[in-house]
Amino acid sequence: MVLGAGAAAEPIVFRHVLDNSPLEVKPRPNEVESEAVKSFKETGKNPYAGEEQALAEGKRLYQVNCQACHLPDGSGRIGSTLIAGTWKYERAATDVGMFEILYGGASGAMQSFARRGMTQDQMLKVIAYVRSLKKT
Amino acid sequence: MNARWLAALSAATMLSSAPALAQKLPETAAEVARPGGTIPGAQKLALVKVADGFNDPVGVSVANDGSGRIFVVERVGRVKVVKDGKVNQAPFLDLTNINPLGSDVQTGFVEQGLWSIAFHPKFKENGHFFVHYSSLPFNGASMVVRFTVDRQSPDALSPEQTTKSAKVLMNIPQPYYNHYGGMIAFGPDGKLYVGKGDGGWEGDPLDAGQRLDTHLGKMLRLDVDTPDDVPYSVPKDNPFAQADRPQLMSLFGITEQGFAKIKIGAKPEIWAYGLRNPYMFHFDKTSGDLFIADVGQNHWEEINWQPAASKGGENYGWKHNQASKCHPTTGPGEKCPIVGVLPVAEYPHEEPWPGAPKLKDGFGCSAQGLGVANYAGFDKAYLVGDWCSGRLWGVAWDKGASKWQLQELLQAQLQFTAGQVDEDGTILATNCYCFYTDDKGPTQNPAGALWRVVPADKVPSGAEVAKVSTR
Repeated sequence: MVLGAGAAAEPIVFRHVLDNSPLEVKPRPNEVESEAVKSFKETGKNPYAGEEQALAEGKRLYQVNCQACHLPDGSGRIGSTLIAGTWKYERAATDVGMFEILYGGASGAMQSFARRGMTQDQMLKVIAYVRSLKKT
Repeated sequence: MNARWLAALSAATMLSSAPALAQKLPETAAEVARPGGTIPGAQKLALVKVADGFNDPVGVSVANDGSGRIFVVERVGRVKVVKDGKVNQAPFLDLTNINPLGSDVQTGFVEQGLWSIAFHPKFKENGHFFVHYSSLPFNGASMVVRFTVDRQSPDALSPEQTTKSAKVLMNIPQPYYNHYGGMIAFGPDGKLYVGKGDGGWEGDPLDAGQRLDTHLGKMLRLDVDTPDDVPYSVPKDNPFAQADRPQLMSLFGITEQGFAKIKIGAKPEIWAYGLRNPYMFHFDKTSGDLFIADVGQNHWEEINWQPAASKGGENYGWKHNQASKCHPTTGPGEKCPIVGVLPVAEYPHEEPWPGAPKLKDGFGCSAQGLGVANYAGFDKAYLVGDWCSGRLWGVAWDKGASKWQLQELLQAQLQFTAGQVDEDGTILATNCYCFYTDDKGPTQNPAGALWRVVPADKVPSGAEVAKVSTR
């Protein structure tokens, strides 16, 4: 659909990856929504993609939170591969889908990182870093 | 004669008009059930929340005393009572405050803590119950301890009653901080079974699974009905009860089989061996059969079945085999002997062998047995929840096809930790948010919950159900 001039873009509707139910994305207590997050929720585009400083922070977060299961190169062991181009949940191919999984959790050990205390801004940095990993 | 066998016999007698059960152990790897099977009659299931707000719930049990209480084990060292969906504020048991110098429970690693509670078959009369946990004062050793309820306070032991009534049965030193096993449970024979892991690290560096001179890597069987100054006794019909007995040596007139029964150093408490980490195991109340969910290493999980008529002594193969595969596994074409008894079912991790194409479905990483289901269309099906993938599996003998089946029943958002059969026969399950990579400590992790497995079309109105995959 082509938006008319001046029309506001529809905000992204986030859904739970397991059952497609609506996923309410709200800040944690004391979490201030960053400009990047606001923009992402409107456009579905990750403002941190390819951004050097964000990638460095994303890498740090990935090392702390993700790599024990997904391995340093993203090839996956307990957690799924992040670099093969095929996805356990197809929507993880998009940044919105990966955000839905990080925010709302998927199944089993892939629990909600919002519950674990990660901010939405940090999630976007992690996603940017994951997208920068070398593909197989 | 083994009393467990007697119990099974009486159950079989009651069903004497039914055709003989034909289930049997797989004799070849091809007979081991794998994902993709169908259990005839299995109904669609749902998980209904019973109660919430537990600190790392990693075990659950019932007293079978008609009280309707459910006992949820919190890793930190507490047991909470749930009655009619409400959680008692005061713990039933609290091992964190019996010692003025601090907790009695070591919880430094996520596999450490209080794992299990088992009620004496005559709990209603004698008030005895048993727990299994990793000890802080004993540097992580695993302790099996009996406590006794104060009748004046049936829902909560005071610290004084806890200390006063403690009877330590076992103190098993632990070499590493993982693979403790955990569950303890009474069999239909009235004996206490203890699931002991191989002591940890990876690859069983101590060869504990195969060695008979250690309690590690085993299923142990104890007679707990002893005087207070005797921790336990070894049932005379344990398979290695006599293997290390002092005896005169005879060199002639003895068969080779006779010599083979001499096992110097064998621990008489051993019931079965060759196990890696039997965190959860359950007896089927209808038949006396035993199922063991043995947590696997990098590539395969296995579910073992032991018929009620077993005399013990089974070798489940670890570390020579992992499920029906070689250990270490190299993938298709690998060759190695199958040591001991095959599992009845197995499921892979996402990467079934090193370098294998990643699976998109039908995998997990850590099998937690929940209990044997005899409802919702199931006939003696062992329900197993996976800690990593949230999958709920069913394992059952398919009479029509004369083979074992492994069916994925649902995939939940939950990290399953433990389960038990409630007094009404339905299966209870717990979930935690206490994964390896995100353990903030046993009281700091997000609260876990208690669930009941019910047929999907029997979910009470207004009940909260666990989110499951609709893919």
